[in-house]
Amino acid sequence: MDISPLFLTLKIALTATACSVVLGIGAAWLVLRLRRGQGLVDGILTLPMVLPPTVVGFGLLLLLGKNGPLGAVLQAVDISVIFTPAAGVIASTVVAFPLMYRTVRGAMEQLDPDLAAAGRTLGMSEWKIFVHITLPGCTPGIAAGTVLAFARALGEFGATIMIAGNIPGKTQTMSVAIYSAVQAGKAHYGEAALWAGTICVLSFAGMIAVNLWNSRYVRRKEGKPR
Amino acid sequence: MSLCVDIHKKLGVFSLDMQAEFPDAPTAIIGASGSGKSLLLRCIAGIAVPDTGCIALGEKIWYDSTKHISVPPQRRHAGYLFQQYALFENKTVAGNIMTGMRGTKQEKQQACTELMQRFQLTALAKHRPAQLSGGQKQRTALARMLGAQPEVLLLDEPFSALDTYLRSEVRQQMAEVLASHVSVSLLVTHDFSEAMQLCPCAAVVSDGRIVEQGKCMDLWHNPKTRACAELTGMRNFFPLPDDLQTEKHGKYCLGIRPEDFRPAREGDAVTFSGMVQRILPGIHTDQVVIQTPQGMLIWTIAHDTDHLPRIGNCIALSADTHRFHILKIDKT
Repeated sequence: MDISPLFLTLKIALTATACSVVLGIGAAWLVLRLRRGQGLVDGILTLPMVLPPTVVGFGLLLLLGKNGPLGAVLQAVDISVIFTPAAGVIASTVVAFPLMYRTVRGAMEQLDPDLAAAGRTLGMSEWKIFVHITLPGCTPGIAAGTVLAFARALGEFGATIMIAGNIPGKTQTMSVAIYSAVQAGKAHYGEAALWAGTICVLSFAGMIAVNLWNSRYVRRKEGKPR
Repeated sequence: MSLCVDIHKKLGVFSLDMQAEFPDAPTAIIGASGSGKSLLLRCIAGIAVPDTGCIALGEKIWYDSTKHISVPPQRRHAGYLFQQYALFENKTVAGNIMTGMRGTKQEKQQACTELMQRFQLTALAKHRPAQLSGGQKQRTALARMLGAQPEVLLLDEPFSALDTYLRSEVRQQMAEVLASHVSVSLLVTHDFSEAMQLCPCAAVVSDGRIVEQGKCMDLWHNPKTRACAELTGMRNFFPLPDDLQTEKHGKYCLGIRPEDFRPAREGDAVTFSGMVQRILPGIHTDQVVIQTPQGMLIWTIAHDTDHLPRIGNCIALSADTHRFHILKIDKT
């Protein structure tokens, strides 16, 4: 049996999670600093979470396809992303990003605004406040968002199959492999079950790991021995 | 060098409208909660921005809406002590104290060691804020503020989160800090006696405006407004009686301190008579609540007085004329 979907899925999901973390934190910080239009920008950023993944995939196909605005630019420098693993990363990132963004934004809103104000009166630059006060203050939220984003990226199917396709050994991730196996008939149900089980185990392990880390983090913050 | 403030800011139905000049001496900003005293401090520190007006420390302009100047808080060098301390949870006590310091690592450590000694924090250097008691947090916040070598000290209700015993302990420390600071320092409080202990001068804030400013002693003995009188513990206010010789009418009232009442004598111009409703016992004094036609009246009476009143007694009270305070009503 070909186990390439496992590694491909991990590679795509981890890359997409990393992208979501960076983009999600950045977006949350920027949106909270907006004076006007916060609701509108928030709506646009959250949209991929509530839309059917096929709609997201179709939109990305139009955007990144040969004749799409972004696709044409990439074509000019001889890059084609459709039906490549990179497309899988893009699809997963777009779908996982809102989970990260929303969770981090919630954590940032919960943070006592006096902390940043204290940093300012003490002469810290805005960047230093972000790195040394805001980020550490949101760590549990960032961790929670990362797990959600990772789990979402791991199981991404709809948008992925529309722009990355189902090419065994190249773009076939676990969730796509499950679909293929089921399509191939009852004889392949074992394979489908194996991939389904793997996804369950991986997602569950991710949750447990973060919960463990979180309780250790809280203990460390309160200065109690581990 | 004095701090000049002339700012206006609207926040929903509340409007802040303050003009004042604060000299080098420590000044208390006294006001009831919600009167805008903390917002004034925030505007001075630069962590809140007024709608219009100007703020200047001596020659240095910090804010001027007509010239579109608004110096960021980072460059104002105004030390701010937050009501809830705002300590950085992820840093140790030493880390917190060193946050605002400039210079080489060695210089910072040296300064930090000195501050920790001064505020009895040396043993707690590696502790995190979550492990500290209220008083220790307060001292850490004070040390952190002073570590940045601020020009102006802004203290926002520094004792509000502490219990009575810790309060008096921290007050000593605060008195020492204020005494050793040479430039402008403002202390926000709602407690007049606290203000008196720590600051020679005070500004009284009511409903977003500064209604009185002067020496604490003068404000205590001679309040001019009802807001100020209330903050000094005056409890009895009556419409101005016609027979009180004055041209002031309308927006004025008569105020008498609970401890200034005495049984009425013949020849008193103004008397209040009524029935004793309740007696609230105290350690050295009792508070007698009397229902009069002019309204409820509170009389503080020492235990060693002859003929202590009882519930149900009908009594007539007055006060010496120099104990009558004619007060401007600034609230609508």
